[in-house]
Amino acid sequence: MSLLLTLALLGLTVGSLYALFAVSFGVIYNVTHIFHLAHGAVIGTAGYVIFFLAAKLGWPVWLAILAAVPVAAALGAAIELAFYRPLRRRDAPHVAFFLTSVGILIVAEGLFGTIFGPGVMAYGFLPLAPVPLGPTTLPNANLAMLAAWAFVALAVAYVLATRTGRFMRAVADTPGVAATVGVDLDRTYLVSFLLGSALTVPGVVLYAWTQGLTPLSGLNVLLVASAAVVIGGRTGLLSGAIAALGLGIVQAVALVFLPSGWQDAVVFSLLFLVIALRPDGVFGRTFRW
Amino acid sequence: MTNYLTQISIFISVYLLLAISQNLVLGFGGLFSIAQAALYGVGAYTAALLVLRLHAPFPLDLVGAFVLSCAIGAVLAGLLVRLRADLIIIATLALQLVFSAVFRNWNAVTGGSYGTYGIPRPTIFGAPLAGLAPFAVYAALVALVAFAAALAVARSPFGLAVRGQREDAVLAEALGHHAARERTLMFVLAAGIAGIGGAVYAQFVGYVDPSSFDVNQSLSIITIVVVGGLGNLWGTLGAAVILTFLPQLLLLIPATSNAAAQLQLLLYGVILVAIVRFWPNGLIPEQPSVRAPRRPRPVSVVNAAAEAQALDRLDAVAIERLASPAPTVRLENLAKSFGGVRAVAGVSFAIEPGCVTALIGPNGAGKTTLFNLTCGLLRPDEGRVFFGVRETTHAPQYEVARLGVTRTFQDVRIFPRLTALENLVFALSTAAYAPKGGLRERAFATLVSLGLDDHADEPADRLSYAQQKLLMMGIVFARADPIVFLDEIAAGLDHHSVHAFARLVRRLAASGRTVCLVEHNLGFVWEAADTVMVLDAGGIIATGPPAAIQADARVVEIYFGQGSTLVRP
Repeated sequence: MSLLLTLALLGLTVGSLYALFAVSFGVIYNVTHIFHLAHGAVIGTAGYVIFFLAAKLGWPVWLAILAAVPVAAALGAAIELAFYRPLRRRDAPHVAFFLTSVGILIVAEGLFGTIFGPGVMAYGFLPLAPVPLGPTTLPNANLAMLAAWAFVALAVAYVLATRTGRFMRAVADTPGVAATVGVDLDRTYLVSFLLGSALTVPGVVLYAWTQGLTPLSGLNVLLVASAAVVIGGRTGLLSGAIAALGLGIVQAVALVFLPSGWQDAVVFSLLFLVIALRPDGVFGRTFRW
Repeated sequence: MTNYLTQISIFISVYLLLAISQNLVLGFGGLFSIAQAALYGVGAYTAALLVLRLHAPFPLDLVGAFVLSCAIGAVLAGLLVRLRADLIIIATLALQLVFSAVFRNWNAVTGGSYGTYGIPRPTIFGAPLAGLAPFAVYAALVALVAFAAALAVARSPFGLAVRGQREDAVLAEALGHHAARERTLMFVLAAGIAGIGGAVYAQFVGYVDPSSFDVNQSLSIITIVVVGGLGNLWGTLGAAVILTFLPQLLLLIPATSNAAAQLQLLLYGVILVAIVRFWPNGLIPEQPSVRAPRRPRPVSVVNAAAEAQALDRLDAVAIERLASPAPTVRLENLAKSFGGVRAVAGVSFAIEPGCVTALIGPNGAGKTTLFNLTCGLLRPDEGRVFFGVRETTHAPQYEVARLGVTRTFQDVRIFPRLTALENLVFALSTAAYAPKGGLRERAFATLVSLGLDDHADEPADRLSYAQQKLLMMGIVFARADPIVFLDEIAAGLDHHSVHAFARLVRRLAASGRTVCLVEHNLGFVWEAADTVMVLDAGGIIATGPPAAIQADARVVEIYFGQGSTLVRP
């Protein structure tokens, strides 16, 4: 019983972290319709920048984290401006965007590996400690993951309440019509990239606190996040976040039945099943943003 | 050094096999699969286990790897072929990750993350391939056989069929091709080739572990294919050589040799981004599978007047009389709803051979839906469809087409990236009523009669609008089917060309064919049709010869409101 409770709590916290990553990916994917695998490069860059500033240069942790925000946002925006926008101007096919995204991701993986080596870089500057919680204990990092919902709420509020957010919803729905009524598509896409990329910073801090970083961390996290967005359906940010929470819980509880290595198999079999059976996502149109 | 180069040549052979597989699926079939490394892994583990556990002699390991990866490919294809293009990317990504997890964790079979060791090199007909050089020759032979087979497939009618369905699956089915089956077959074949790649790899390195078959491997294979050129196997050959060799140079530089694996990723990434950005067709672009029997004459500057007269060529095309009368098409009480909208509400009529029947009516009246129900693109909720005595109510589009039905789609619909000649060969390859003879020769003869012969080897999307429309009609002529459905062919035409099309439709009917039109251009209808049927809100409200319809008060009201007339006095 205690095991199940512990696993459920772990799933809840890790699922919260996935929810944040799902929102950061979903802001970009839903609005631009680019399966932005290069988001993994942004996640990794944010993580390694924090590591470098805090562990190598000895900056205070909070300052290193703050400094990573503009770096991540700028990298996301740069990918849009330097790569995706020219392809859009050329009216390139869907596949060209995806291939470019793949290319950027593997360049980043290669760079991380060359500079920091293929091994795990632990976030030693963020110590892990168990926190007693009734009959069980959880690592402090996992409790901190619940804070992810604050960022999720912030992103959803931005998309719902601001003028630019309204444009983003319109563009997500039908870019052509949005453009004819005067929405600046270029600007809207750019804001999506800025917002989604900045949101990777809190996510990667929480992730690396428990796991450390490898060159593949960005891709691994992104795959789960994108799975959640597709499973939830592209109709909004919340559907992806809730699907991500569900994935986190399923992953953790699956540990009761399966050795830990099989987690990926469970998550991605689920993703495949959803695509094959409910291609518009499990929630249909329940969550509109 | 020689050993080193020999070793690289073996890796080139393996990568060539993988890249051929990827190009067949992605370049020819248009299925963006990121799961080729998984199938590569299936082949490698199968060959390894056959040799280690069952002591299978060569070539049973190779055959086993081929068969099992084909089988798994068939299952995957069954799940994938009907998905939307963007979802196929994500679905195959998911599959790749599931397979990677299985390779990593199914310890009893795969040996888990440590892998399976000690696979001996094969002995071929008593000759052991223990040495590097003999094995390199063997690997190159396997790769070249696969390459030659893939080339043959690409140039065959099947290869053309697969490229056609990639461009437009609905049009492919309307022309009698079972697109989903062709796509599945291509996927299965490609899976088998990836499996053979895995077997050769396992035989060579002597161990298999999951890291060789992960998602990054899939991405590397895609990079090779994109660099070489989608849909071009020679490009794939070149890119496999270059991209396998290039990273090896990094090993020769002492400063970089430690991080070679990382730098290879970096290099592939940069090349991939640059190619997509600056050279989207790759090293060698796709080539047509058939070419015109003679070289084109240089085409003079396009002349606006000539362009306007282009459709007059329709009058010059000979239409052979049908030997036996075309069957009557009968619809009985046909009904179809979309959600709550009843698009077609219990329609019955017969389309008689030898005359032109036109369906008219306002937008949303259900005309095109009725066409789609008749031709098998949609299934009716109620009612039945007969072609002669044969019931086709539940027959899919490609079966209806093979009965001798050609349909065109609204405006212009052809395969944009196939050449004009390939468009016709594609349409002819399933035509039941076309005269006998070589496909290419008959297709070319049609182009000559349309005055398009000098454009035979040009991709159809580079033809002018009138030429594309001619090409679409060329499909109707070439197939010579007894039943012809034409959906809004007069749209987008000037006054002059509308008359040319009306004469053409009359001649088709005079040759004994059954012709059915959906049309908005009423002038065209009055000129071309024998019988006019007026649809409104999913039902027929009037039927009769053009003169009677023009006088029908209800029809006039639908089109123009009360107190109007359809023909200017």
